[in-house]
Amino acid sequence: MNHRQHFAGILGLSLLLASCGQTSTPPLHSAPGPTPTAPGQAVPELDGDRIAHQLIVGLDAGGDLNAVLTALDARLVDRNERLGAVLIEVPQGRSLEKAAGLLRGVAGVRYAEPNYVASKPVQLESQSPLGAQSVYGGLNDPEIGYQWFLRSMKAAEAWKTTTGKGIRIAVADEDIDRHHPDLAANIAYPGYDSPNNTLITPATPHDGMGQHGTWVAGTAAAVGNNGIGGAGVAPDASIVPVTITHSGTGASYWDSARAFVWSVNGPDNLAPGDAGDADTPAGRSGYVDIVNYSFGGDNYSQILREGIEYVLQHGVVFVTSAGNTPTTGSSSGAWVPGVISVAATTATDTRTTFSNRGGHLSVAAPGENIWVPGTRSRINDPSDNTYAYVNGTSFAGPATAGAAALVLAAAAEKDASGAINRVNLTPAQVRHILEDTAHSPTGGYTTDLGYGVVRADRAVDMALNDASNRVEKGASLDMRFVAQSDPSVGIPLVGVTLKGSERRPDQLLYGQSAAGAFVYPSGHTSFYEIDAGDYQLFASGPRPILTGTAPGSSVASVSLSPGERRTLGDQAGVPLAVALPADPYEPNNTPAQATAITYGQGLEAVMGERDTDLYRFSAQAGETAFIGTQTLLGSPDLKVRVLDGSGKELAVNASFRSGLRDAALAFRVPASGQYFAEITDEGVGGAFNTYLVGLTRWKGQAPEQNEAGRVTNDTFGGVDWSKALGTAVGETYEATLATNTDVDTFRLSARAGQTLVIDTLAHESGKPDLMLGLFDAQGQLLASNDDFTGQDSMVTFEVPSDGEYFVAAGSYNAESKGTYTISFMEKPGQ
Amino acid sequence: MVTLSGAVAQGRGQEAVAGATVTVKGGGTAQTDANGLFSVSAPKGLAEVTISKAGHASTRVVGLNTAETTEIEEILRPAFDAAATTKAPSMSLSVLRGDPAEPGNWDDLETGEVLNTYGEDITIAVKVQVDDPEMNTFKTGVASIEVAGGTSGHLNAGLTRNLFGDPRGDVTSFSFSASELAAYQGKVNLHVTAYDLNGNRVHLIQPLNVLSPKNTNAVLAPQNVNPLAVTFADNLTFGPQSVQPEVRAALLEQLSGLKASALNQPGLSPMAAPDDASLWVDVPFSYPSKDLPRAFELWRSFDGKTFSKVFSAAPQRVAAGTSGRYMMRDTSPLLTPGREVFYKVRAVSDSGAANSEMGNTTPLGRYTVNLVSPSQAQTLVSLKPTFTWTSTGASDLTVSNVIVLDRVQSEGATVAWLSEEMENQERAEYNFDGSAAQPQLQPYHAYEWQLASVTINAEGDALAVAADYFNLYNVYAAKSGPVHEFVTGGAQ
Repeated sequence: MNHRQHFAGILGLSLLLASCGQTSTPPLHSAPGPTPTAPGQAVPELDGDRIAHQLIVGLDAGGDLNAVLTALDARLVDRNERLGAVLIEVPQGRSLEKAAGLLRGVAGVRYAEPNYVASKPVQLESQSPLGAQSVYGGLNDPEIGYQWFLRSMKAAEAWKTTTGKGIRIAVADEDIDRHHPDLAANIAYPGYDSPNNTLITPATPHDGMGQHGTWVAGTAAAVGNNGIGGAGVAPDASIVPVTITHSGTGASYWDSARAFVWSVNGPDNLAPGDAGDADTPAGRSGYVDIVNYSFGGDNYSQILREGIEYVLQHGVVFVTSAGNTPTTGSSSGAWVPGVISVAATTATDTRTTFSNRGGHLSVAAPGENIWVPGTRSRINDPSDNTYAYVNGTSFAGPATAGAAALVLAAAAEKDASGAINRVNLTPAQVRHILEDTAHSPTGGYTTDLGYGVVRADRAVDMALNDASNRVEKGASLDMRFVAQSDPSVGIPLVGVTLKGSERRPDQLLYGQSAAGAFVYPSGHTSFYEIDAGDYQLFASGPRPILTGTAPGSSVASVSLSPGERRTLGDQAGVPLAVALPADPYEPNNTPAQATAITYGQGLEAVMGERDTDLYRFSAQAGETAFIGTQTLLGSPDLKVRVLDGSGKELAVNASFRSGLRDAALAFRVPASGQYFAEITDEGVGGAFNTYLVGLTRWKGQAPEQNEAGRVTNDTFGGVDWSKALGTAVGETYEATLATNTDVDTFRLSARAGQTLVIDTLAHESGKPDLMLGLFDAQGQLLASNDDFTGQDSMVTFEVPSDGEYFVAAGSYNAESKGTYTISFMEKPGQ
Repeated sequence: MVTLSGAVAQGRGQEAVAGATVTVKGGGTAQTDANGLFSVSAPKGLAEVTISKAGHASTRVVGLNTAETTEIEEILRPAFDAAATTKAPSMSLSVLRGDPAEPGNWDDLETGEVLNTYGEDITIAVKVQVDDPEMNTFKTGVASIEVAGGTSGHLNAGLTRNLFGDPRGDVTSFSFSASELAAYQGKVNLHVTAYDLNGNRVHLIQPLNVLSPKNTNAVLAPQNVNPLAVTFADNLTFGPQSVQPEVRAALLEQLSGLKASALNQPGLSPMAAPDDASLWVDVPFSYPSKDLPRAFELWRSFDGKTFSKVFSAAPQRVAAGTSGRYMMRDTSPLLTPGREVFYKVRAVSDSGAANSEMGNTTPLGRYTVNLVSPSQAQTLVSLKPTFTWTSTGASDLTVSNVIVLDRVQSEGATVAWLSEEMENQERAEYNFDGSAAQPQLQPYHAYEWQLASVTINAEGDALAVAADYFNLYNVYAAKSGPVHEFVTGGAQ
């Protein structure tokens, strides 16, 4: 039960009675005598300025209530012991004045008077019939008075020109309560459910989790002038619902980026303008005109950047929140060049204490005490007009997206009836309009508020003034970094920095070249919808911390004019002097070219773009071969297939365990003969995707020896080697750390100069979080590894001399346990 | 007439409000001084106090009994919206006696009327009436026992309940169970504060008479009272700002990892919001017996002689881990940098009370750092740069770490360098400690650098944090310190 609302209803009557100050609403004390009628059971009738037929009678302590009631033939309604008074109801037809007079003769009566009523201007429940006087902006929404953000942004003045009708805003967020009575009329279908990769239709139920999306959608475009609740900044704009998460803890970069691309392409998944594209509305750049993204995080994300670039590249506006850390440091989303990033303000045009700062901000908008629609507590009740108070840069974003919708609507070309024919502003033009008309308390740009607080009225005025021709357009810069030694190879992980626009000469813009895994080909990077100007460009890569090789560099001066789309470099791209990882086994793309591999060998190779690597091996019937892959560099998504001599697939694995991009499998050899292991990349591959493939004999479960040993953080101590399992290069075991403190030990012989490779795979991520150590026969640690890929360990070591060596496997800091495979291999000699 | 004195601040642990007008109904008027302190005459008994200042919302205190209390701490917020009303709301309470479904079971409480708990749970309805209800409403409030709860995100001040307003209904309610109230016995005040949309505040004091089961454990003197004063450089926020605890946990995990791979990392969170504080004192202590008292009381003095109670709490509510260790936090606006403060902890049961020895500290003023070189957006920086900075407000010892992040373009491996701690230094050569991920930075590449820095006095009982985004010092993740972006030049 919603206690609060129930209570309010009951008190409604009591307050009316109480406001005249004559009596308070007493509890019902049980007392002998006539049973009183509980107040509130029937709504008493008003008679002018009093409750009809009621008298309040003051009684002395010794006063006789029964005498009073009998004298007037009245019934007791209520009593107030503390004040010594009772409330009685006299029969119809008896005037109260006469009744009061009759009581003068009754002993103990101190006074008798009508139960007067004071009128109360406040209504307990908001309701406002159409045509009632508007509190703000000419709209009849009764709670618009609580939405100070509209007044701060001067929305009402902007509404004289437009309320955003015809502009479509994708709200990429938690699931929106799309049938909320103050949102439903503005929702446009179909929308998109990114985590499930399905469309959202009017029949799609709410996911039961999302709150945030409803608040965000309402800030931008809650329905205006419908007599309920409040209104959004663009009260007639359309909201295209794009759900990016069904979890309360956040949205993945992947789902977000995919949602951005969908917002541009629409349900037919064809880019606007491509052959066959049928769902981009005529005269529009994309399925939607604006994307709002009120999410973010501290980590840079290439995927997110590519998704956002896709939006900007296609001429769709991208608005995002600055974040609430508060930090001045970088974060994803808000730091992508070309977006409109928004800080949060208070009603005094100051930054809220939580709003992120920095040189990347565009503008600021209200973000505190925002009264907006919330997901209904009774989700199936079409009249449940849930609203909520919210705080955060999450709401400054959609408030600005609403302002952007007003700007687009004002500037758009329209037909005779006023409907939009063509949206004619680019994302940079919208950004420049909002920035140039923002209110800056200091008169200039600040890292607190960007160019200042959004003023929708001035922005709309600027939009009306031939904006598509007069407002400065942005510029775009494209480039593809290629290997100087082989221009067909795109170089991923090249970091690019631009400095020196005309508007903001101090601002740094960042990017990184693609790995070819998502939208853009490997080596590609771009800056869309940035300010014109004379830039210095600094680029180097791939990142040595990931590749271990010296990066190539490129430094250039680039002058960009408004509206220009420039490609840097020549036909081939921008060459970088980079040493590409070599794959000594290429070409091995067909069975005829397959590289020979024998049991015990671990080979390092490169999974190039659209590459296939084939390895051939001989095996005996009844053996079980274990083929494992291990990413060494880059991020290939490896897949292993075993083929017979005729190319028929006998076994396949794409991922050894959930979430892992490396593959491995155990293959029971049916007949003696030759087989092929085929390694491919389920992504596109890349010049820097290096991996290890190993072939070993599967030995099954290692017996549990319960060896003694201690792991503290990443150090082994007190290991008892006496029970070490004898193994050899070329074997793979399945072993288990039975408890957090379990240590498994292995013993093998090796030769001087042999490069041992010991690789492990936990069966469940982090269970165990393995630690590996390689020791000599004296128990001295030679090499160790904690996390090589995720929490799986791998040790590579060139053995100094012939002899026995020992391997210990434990869990990091004795914190985990579980089952894992361990493979003992060697790298073949040069 | 009696003299009523007190302090006015913008929020718990926040800046003092000078020049505020304090008016007592039937008494005098006074102004707060530079430290927000005032002294004013008041009638003896029930008093109503109004505090106001231009540009600020106002505060009204109702139900103050000057026969019992002559010192108060109040909060005065800046007006959220200059155009909106600055009249404080009014508030009335009623207590539930019986089935809440029965409308007559709510008993209105008169101002100053003592509410007996009779050893039971209590449920109280709060009705707040604001000025200008068409544009204004009751927004949030706090009900707390013994101490008025403030806006601090981490209260540690008596039992508290958060109240939330709704423009569509003006009544809300809260409860305290008998077991929660068992820390108290006899007379104790219930404080209910409510804010409207503009920051106008009403603070109602409702006396309770708590009847609790007797705790007759023998009491011992608490030990090891070692106050630690903590000052921040900014009006900071407590923790990542999300309403759901799991979001906060996910964010903290993400920050401490910083090695997350880019794909499929659930790391983006909705940006919803705040709360603030900047100076407090933590008073840790131990209790030498497993037979716990009914309550611990924190007492404070500014002269080492006259002590007044800050608040009491049941031992379980202030336990800091296991094995008899506790901590109580004082966030009073009376705490001032440079003003020495003394604490005693008293153990209380129905068989008596025992005081600890006194502990003391002097809170530091704000400590801030200013990054000098590499400067913001500097290009062609050396691949082994020297980082330099200056500071203000340093005490006897400063501890700093340089943090260089490759966060703007990365796929994991974002920490280029997290230096070892440096004492009393204001410069550091890149990788002086050999701990950087690479011996030199990548050429023509963008980085950002920041400091974690804290200063501490020689006694070790007061510290001030300038910045500590990653909570290296385990005091608090102070995230809003300065950050500089820079771009390296070529290989030398």
